[in-house]
Amino acid sequence: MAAADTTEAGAPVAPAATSRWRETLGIVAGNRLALFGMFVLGLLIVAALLGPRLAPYGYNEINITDRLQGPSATHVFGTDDLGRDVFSRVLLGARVSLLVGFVAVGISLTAGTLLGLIAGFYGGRLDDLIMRLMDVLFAFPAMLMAIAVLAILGPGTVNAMVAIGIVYTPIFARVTRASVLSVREEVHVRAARSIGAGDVRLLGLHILPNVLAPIIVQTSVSLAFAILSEAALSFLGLGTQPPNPSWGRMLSEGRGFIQQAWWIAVFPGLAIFLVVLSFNVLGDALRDALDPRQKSVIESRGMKA
Amino acid sequence: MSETTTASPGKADYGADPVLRVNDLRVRFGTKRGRAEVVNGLSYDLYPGETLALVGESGSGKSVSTLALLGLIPQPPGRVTGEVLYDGRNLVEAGDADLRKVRGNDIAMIFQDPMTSLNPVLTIGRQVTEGMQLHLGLSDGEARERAIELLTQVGIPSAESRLDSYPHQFSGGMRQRVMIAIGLACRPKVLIADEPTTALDVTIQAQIVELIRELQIEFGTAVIWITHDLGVVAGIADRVMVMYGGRVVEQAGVEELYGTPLHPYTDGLLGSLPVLGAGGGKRLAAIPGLPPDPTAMPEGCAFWPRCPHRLDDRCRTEQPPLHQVRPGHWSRCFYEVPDDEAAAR
Repeated sequence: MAAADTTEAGAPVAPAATSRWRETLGIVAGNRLALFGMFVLGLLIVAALLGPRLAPYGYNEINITDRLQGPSATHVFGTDDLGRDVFSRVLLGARVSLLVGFVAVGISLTAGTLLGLIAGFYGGRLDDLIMRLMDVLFAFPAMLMAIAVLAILGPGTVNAMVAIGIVYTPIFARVTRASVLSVREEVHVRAARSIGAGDVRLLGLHILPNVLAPIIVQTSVSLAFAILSEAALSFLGLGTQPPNPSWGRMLSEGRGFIQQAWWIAVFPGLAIFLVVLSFNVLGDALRDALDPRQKSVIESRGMKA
Repeated sequence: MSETTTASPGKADYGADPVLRVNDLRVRFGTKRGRAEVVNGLSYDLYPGETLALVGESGSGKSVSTLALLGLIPQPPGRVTGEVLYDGRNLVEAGDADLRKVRGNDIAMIFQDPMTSLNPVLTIGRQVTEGMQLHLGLSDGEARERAIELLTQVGIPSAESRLDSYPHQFSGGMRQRVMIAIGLACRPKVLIADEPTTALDVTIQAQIVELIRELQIEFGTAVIWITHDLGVVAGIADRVMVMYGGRVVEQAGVEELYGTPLHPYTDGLLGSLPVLGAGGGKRLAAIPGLPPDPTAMPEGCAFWPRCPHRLDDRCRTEQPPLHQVRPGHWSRCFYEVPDDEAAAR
């Protein structure tokens, strides 16, 4: 957006100050796929918050007489082998998935960004130490490491959050550090130092806000992976424990009934698919909006004045 | 040090004590190719209210020397020795906490490229008030008031509404004005202007030069103006220091320097200025060769390889000292540029 500029001597035309965030959101909203992603995400959040009230049945309402019934008016997604309503379980499973996803990514984000900032800003041996540690974590395949952590901590939802959080910390550290390495050389950082800013202020006010873009994109992508990981861990029996609903677990339990009652596995699977797709699509849109070059391409397409 | 007439009489106070004294400042960097000696024994005094121009090619060490004043040279791989005396303290040996109190508050710096010197994600208001809040302990309201005053003084119309704008909403000239406002926010005694007009159009350049001059007179700030534009120097400087190979090779009042350049390098610089109408079609005079490699500084005169005179072998083997040739006029050369060559200018 070209600012209506003031001439050096003429009357000013001060434009409304739009922060970059508002600009970015505007671009993302213009992308239809991203809107779909946001819509699904919105549904997910609603499901998570209002689940217990919206669910027609409890997540553990066993009703053996109604078992293995296909989708119908009374049971929109059918029932499972214990007569539990699949729709209610999918709805309530949303809560767990989102919770684990956000908390786990919250852990990775905080720890990873902090480590990346320190490593990138100070450099030298501190940088080496931190990044070699991250490399060690990176060397392990994500799932195996999560399983290893859970083997030590024991299964459960909270432990799954910690495990997934640890697994995704290195990528945040790397992404942050890469951006910090280039931002710390920018003139405005030196300018801020020249007026007396100390390290903490430089990191918090001058460097961090300028490296946020790739971190945000990474957050979105990692959320998708985290939810997928939680589903996988629950599928293996290591994450959320029964009778708490979890999409992964439902997949695992529904596997045996694929032939006779496909709805038990398919609906949770669809839910996982939709959520992961949405986060990925959102991440793509955000990345396009936040990348200055892509941004100009998009803006010219929208033909903004 | 008695002085020749200044551009604006009454601005520089040569009778008072110098506000900044630099003694034998040396800055070296460890590089893969060896030790780079970027600043090699710089010494000067800065008086209150004066404008000292630091002139030289890229690589002459002028910017690095001023960064060293504020302790902004990262000390590995750099190494700064010497004395920078401000307010009774040697800033070279000061700790980080002390330096931070001086930066922005007593000695401030403005940078060359207005496009990158401002933080793109913070509002102008935030950036102008940052220094004030660090050093002056003003409340938010007071800082805002003062910011509006400052922005108006530097020529930004409707300052109050622009406080919440972002840098990308300003033109280059406007951003440089904001930079100046940030630099002068705490009324520092010394302002280091590192090529503030190089990245601007000529018409805007003139405005910025004029702006700094006005503010300098009003606030009584001493300005170290780094530039390689001799035109700008002629317009604003009281005294000029010409740097080459990390050393001062000539130092004089501005009229004295332009009128009677003593060092062959200065002579070459002034001679390379194109003059309208003179000898149409003639090639532009240039100084052949390149500046010395800081990792391989010669033992003798650093300018010797490019000197058109090269009067004797002593120049190659011995480092000429900076000595006072005429009152208030120092030159680092064993000889004076032959008078007839200077007269032809």
